[in-house]
Amino acid sequence: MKIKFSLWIVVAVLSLGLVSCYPDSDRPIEDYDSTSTFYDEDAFSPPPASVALFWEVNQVENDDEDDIDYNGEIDDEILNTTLENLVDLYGEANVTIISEDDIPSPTPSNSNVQVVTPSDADPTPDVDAVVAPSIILRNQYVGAIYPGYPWYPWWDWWYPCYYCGYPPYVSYTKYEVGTVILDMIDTSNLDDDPNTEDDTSPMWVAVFKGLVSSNESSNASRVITNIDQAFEQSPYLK
Amino acid sequence: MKKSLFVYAFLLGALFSVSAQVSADSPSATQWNTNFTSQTAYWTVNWNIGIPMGETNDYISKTSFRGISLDGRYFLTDEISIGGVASWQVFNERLRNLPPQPIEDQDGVQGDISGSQYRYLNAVPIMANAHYYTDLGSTTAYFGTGIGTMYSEQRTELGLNAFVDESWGFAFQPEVGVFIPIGWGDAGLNVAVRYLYGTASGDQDNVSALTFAVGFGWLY
Repeated sequence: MKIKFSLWIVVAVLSLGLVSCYPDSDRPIEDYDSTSTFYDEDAFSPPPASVALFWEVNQVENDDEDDIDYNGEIDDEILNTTLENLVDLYGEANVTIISEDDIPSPTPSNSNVQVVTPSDADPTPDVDAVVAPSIILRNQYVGAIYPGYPWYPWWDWWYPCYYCGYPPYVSYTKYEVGTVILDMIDTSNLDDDPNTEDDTSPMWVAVFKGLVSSNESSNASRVITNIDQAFEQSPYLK
Repeated sequence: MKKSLFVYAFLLGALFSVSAQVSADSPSATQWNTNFTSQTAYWTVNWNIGIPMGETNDYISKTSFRGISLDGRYFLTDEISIGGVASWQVFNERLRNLPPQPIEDQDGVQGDISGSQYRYLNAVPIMANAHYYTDLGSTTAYFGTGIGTMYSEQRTELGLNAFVDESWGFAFQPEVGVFIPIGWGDAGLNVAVRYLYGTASGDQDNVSALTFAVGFGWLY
């Protein structure tokens, strides 16, 4: 009887050792990445023919010790991968870079793309849409952190209340640390009158979760892969 | 997979050790002959290998080596038993390079999500069962079926996102098997083939799998 009991215990315990609810816990870091894209179908009838890209990755943080340390390590990949995809879609002549500095930094990979700055005589490019990249450096419950404040601190020179009402309510109520976001906004919904409220709901949003990790060596290549994927899975952009 | 094989090798090694201990303690080989006549109960504990079928195969096609079942039966006659069985089978598979998955339309906003997927299905059927036994000489074969309920959880992890569906549903499980005495008193090997089908609710698929059970059985 003692032996029978021992057998029961051995078989039961070791069989349970074979089973776990969620195996595969040791995953490569790229398997934690995901690319989500959202769009307003009505805003793409017709799709934009020209776009401008903000040449700055806006860092969304709280300016306290809980923010993760980020010094623009993957800005180059975010901006230039986005630029290359926009040029592929709309052509060099229909893409404009909006830079706060006269000499954009990082250096754009395509030198044929027009650059406008606040110091230009006409700093407002005539485009159908603008694309703005952001990176989340702290868990953000959207709508509670930036209610009614401009997303870009230097944005006033063009559209006074461009990002009022940001961010969009679609799907995500919380942006997690390390998330990269691309927003495309229809410029026809904006005006120059600071006394009127613009419709700043993005017509397209790409959300890249998990892109910024402690594995710095892989961050850059994963940014490129995922931004390319966002454009690939959004055929309606053009 | 390497981890599973290692655990299985360890299990076999441990059982071999126990077997050696049993042999040393047992009186004689003639007393190991076992049949189902005049027994009152039959208990088994098994390692289950599950092959997904039907809708389950559409979700996870990989064979599962992660399963366990416990079966207890009471003999009404020498040939018929009733009892119950509980088991747990974990199916899992990693999928890469899938096309983007559409996200449910919200207020006119549509979307897609892409990334590597880790899919899991935990199936836990709990059933009453009945079996018929026939003597095949040195072994005893049986067939029967179980009817009851099944808890199942279908979980898809995509990046840092997890989409989970849980449900309880009706389940049945016909099976055929054999008890093979191996000289451990009233204990022996239990080998069975089972087909498990369970219904699910909501967005979750019905569960369907062919299971091979290998384990030990004890007659009391």
